[in-house]
Amino acid sequence: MDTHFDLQAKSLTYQPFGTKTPILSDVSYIFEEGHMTALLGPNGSGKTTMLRHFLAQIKSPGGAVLIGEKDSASFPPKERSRMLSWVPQNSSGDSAFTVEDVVLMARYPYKGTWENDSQEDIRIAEEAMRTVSVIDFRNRDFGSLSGGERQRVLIARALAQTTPWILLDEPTSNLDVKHQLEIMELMKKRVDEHGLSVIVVMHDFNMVEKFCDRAVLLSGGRVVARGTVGEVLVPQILRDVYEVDFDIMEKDGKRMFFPKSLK
Amino acid sequence: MLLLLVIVVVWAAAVGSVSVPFSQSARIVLAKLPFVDAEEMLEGIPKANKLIIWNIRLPRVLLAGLVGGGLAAAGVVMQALFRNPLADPQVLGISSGAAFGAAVAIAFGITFTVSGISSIWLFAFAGAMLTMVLVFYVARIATSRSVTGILLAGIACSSMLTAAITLMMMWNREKLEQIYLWMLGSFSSASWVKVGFMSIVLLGALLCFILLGRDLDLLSFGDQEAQSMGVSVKRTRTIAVLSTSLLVAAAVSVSGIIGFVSLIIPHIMRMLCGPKNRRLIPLSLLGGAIFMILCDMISRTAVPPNEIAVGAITQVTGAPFFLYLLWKERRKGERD
Repeated sequence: MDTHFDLQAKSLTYQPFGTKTPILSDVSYIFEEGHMTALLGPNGSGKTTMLRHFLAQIKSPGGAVLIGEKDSASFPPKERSRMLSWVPQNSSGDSAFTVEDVVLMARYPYKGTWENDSQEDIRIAEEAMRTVSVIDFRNRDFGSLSGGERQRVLIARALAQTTPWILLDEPTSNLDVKHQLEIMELMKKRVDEHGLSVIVVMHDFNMVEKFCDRAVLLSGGRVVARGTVGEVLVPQILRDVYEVDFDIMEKDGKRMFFPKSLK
Repeated sequence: MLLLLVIVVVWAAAVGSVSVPFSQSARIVLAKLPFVDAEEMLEGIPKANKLIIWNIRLPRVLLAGLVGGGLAAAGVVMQALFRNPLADPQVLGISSGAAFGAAVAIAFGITFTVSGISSIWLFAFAGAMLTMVLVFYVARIATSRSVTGILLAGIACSSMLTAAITLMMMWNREKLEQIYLWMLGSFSSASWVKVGFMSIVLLGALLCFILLGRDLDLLSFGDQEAQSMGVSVKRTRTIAVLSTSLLVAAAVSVSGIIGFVSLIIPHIMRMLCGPKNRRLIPLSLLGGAIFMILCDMISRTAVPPNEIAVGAITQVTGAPFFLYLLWKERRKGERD
């Protein structure tokens, strides 16, 4: 299968039954392959809802999400999960499965019904666990891990799914500084060297500035800014959307963002 | 474990109001196998013993095993599907449906037997199947077939049916005892026809369960995560609920309502062999079979010539053991 394709949102409008205001209204954006795109916006601006459209968890009447040329919802689940993997904000799994079991689950879309995990599957899972340094507790129960450890296991699982696209929903929210950098650097490296494509939902502008090369900013279910990170992370835009004034300093060619005061 | 099951089957067949030596029981069973010289095997065994073992005890023991195993396997699937350790096939309302069917047959005196199939059994199975259809229908129109929807529809239908059974029992007081005894569960009406019927259903359901084993593993992370890893969530859920329902309907219709097996055996097996459904389902099946055969044996032999309802035995023996396991698990948790 062709591993080079864009993800395209076409006029997504989503309003859950019985609610007054739509979560997304007429959102269109093309996530280009080969980039790490930051999906930004205040709480409740529709970031996660947008990701869920790509995963075909929800459908938008009148809108469409395209994987390459085809509607995401038209793919059989196994085929779609060989193209997109997803790291949720927090996992509902509170289970007795071991870390290794959980990571191996990512190999499901490559298996026939009666097939068992092959040596190759185990090798891929081990490599993924090593990459995010969870290999040391591969035999521990997933349910017994701390929030940050779980988050890294979920990232290992997404890596083991070996997809051309990874959708990360606040992947570093539970991580300490070292692991935040480790994960983001890993993703950046995969994007630059292996042609991986990433969408990452984030709140930390310094991280976005350091690692992402594209950004799209949602507010109230609409796209209010898009382009390179330099074009989107502008004091005036941030002030309008987040209602916070930022001080911006420059060091080594990268900008640093300090929240100064409420508008 | 399979070996243990075979030993338990032969042993349970040997034990009863007429005691037959274990060796004779084993030889009678072996004689029926292909490639075994039956004449030689059965030499010196009284004809009465042969009759007791083959025609009375063995079908009963096997039926107990099939029902116990079936209920335990169904329990594993329910717990995985509802992501709830307390989920039980009974919440789907199927047991109440079967009881309702049986109660109708008993209360209105519809009793006939065609080639070993009694009317009560037929009515119980029909009741269970109709309830299953009803639950699905209600769940679909009311709640678009979510997991909770099925659960709520099951509970609603179940309590309506229980109310109907109570009314029937009130209006037919002379049949009250018979209906009540049926509901408590017993294998005393076992026959080879029932064994055959139960085996076929169990085999079919088991095939579905093993097929879905891996999907059920992934579903423990919730519908959305499972889907993102490639599981067809709706399809998996539909197949799982249908096959479990059918299995439970069959089990309840031949034996009455026997609680606790479907809840406790999966838990015990999970503690012993881990959460992977592909392994857990077959092991729970074996464990449930052994457990049920032993319980039925106690129910036959504890206070001869009367029988204790097997449902009562499963609860009495199961509950303390379950508490012990929970206590042990907690101790382990504190040590870690």
